[in-house]
Amino acid sequence: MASWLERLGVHARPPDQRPRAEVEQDIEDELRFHLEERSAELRSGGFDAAAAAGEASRLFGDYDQVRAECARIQLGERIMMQRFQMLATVLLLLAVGWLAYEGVASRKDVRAQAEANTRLLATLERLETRLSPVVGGMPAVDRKPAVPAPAVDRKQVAWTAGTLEDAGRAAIRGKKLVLAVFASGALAEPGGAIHAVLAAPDVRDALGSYETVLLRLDDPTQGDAHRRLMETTAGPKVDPAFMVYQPRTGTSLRAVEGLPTARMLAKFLLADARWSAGIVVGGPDFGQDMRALGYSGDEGPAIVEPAAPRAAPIDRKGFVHAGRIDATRMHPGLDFLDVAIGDLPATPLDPLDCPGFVAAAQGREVVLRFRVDAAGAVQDPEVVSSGGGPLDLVALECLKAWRFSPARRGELLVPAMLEVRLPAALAKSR
Amino acid sequence: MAEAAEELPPGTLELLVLKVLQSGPMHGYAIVRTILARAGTELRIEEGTLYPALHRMERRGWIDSEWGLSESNRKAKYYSLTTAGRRELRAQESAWRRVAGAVAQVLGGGRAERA
Repeated sequence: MASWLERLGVHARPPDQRPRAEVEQDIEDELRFHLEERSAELRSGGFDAAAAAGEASRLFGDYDQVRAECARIQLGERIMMQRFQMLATVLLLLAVGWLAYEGVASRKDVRAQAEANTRLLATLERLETRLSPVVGGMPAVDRKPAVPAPAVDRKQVAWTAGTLEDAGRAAIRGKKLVLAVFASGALAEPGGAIHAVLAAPDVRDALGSYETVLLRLDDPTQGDAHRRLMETTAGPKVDPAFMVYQPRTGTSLRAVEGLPTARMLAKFLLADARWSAGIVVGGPDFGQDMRALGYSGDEGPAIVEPAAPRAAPIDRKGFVHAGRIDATRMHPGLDFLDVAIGDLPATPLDPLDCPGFVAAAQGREVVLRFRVDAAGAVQDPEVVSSGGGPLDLVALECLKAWRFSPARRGELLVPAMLEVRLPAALAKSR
Repeated sequence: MAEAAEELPPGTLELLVLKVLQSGPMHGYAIVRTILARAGTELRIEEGTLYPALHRMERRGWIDSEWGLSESNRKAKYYSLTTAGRRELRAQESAWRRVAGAVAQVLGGGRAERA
């Protein structure tokens, strides 16, 4: 049942901030895909092309109405605010006109009339200024309430260079905030390799005491956050985006949008008293920003400078990206086949489990090869190395229950080949 | 003569979508096909009505969407359940079972009437 807020177009999530034409094109693509798939199915069932298209359209219902309804839901408050803005503008212009009429009718002097009109126009401009960010087009950072002046002892805040691995080290354990640098935005996508790193017991334990972990993503070609940043950032140079990870809630990871520079991010976060005793783990340029803001710097003996990003070799056995994250280390016994640089491999959503195998294996090993399709489903499983017929069947039966996040190429989900070695891949065997 | 398929009762489409997505990410067409396959000839859905429901559920935070490649290697929008969506599914499923049980009891004569 729609709440009264939803009837007004207000939802839990904000409306799509992309240009309206882009949102409408996405809706058009999605609905067309449905009609074409339905048509193809009908054709394979014996319909000729024209009859299939007609039947698909009949089964779909009123296409234009569905498209308009989807746009209304996606754009929601934007449409409502545009209407409100239009109404407010009309009312104010009427008011201007009425005052002008009054001024002439009552033969007030010209100066008083001009002053009244100027005041009204100024009100109109203020209203426009307030409404524009809601309607869209302004960077998100401008929509945030002003951050109070920092009540932070800057000496308590240290920045240093390093990676998430370093976040687990004793030097920064127990602090409230960690900011880590990574090579690629794609790595931090849900289901991506950073998630695997974050879920690893040692890292998870180390991060458990942090309220918030910020991951800084340096590859401007990856990730939705970057695309949106590029839309709002002038010039060819695009600053990194940031992702927020909250260890206590486990998997919540979202883009921090509209914070176009590291300096602004640091200012925004570190001005908050809750994070005043944080440690920032950042790259060398981040250190410069921190110094410029007056925070004391501390390289820290245990923390290493991240290597400059460079092309990593393709490794058929593992997932290698900028030499830092190796997903095979997070998933022992799992091989990602034909992974290219920039790809994210398909990875298990949960620790792999197969109690029957552990009980029956008696030192034998089984290797299964399969494809994880774009929906994350296991397809075409085969036994590459057998541990004996019954043991193979146990392994294949367990494979049916495992769930995977699909592989990614840029923003697309793509099928991917995996090999899993049992019992090495099983959580309970380690 | 076969009985005509029934229209979905209001409000149940969202429950069905949540239930279908429990088994993993799917695009809209696959969601419709799965619902129709499971319901057999008992239910009739105007397929286009699925999409406003999906977009509304996404804005409520129950599902996420992203573009991927379909089985036919075409660009398709995949939907998946969020944590809030799983919570909503549990709540809606339990409410549905309670109401369905109560209605079935009334239609079947009810304990009070039999006593």
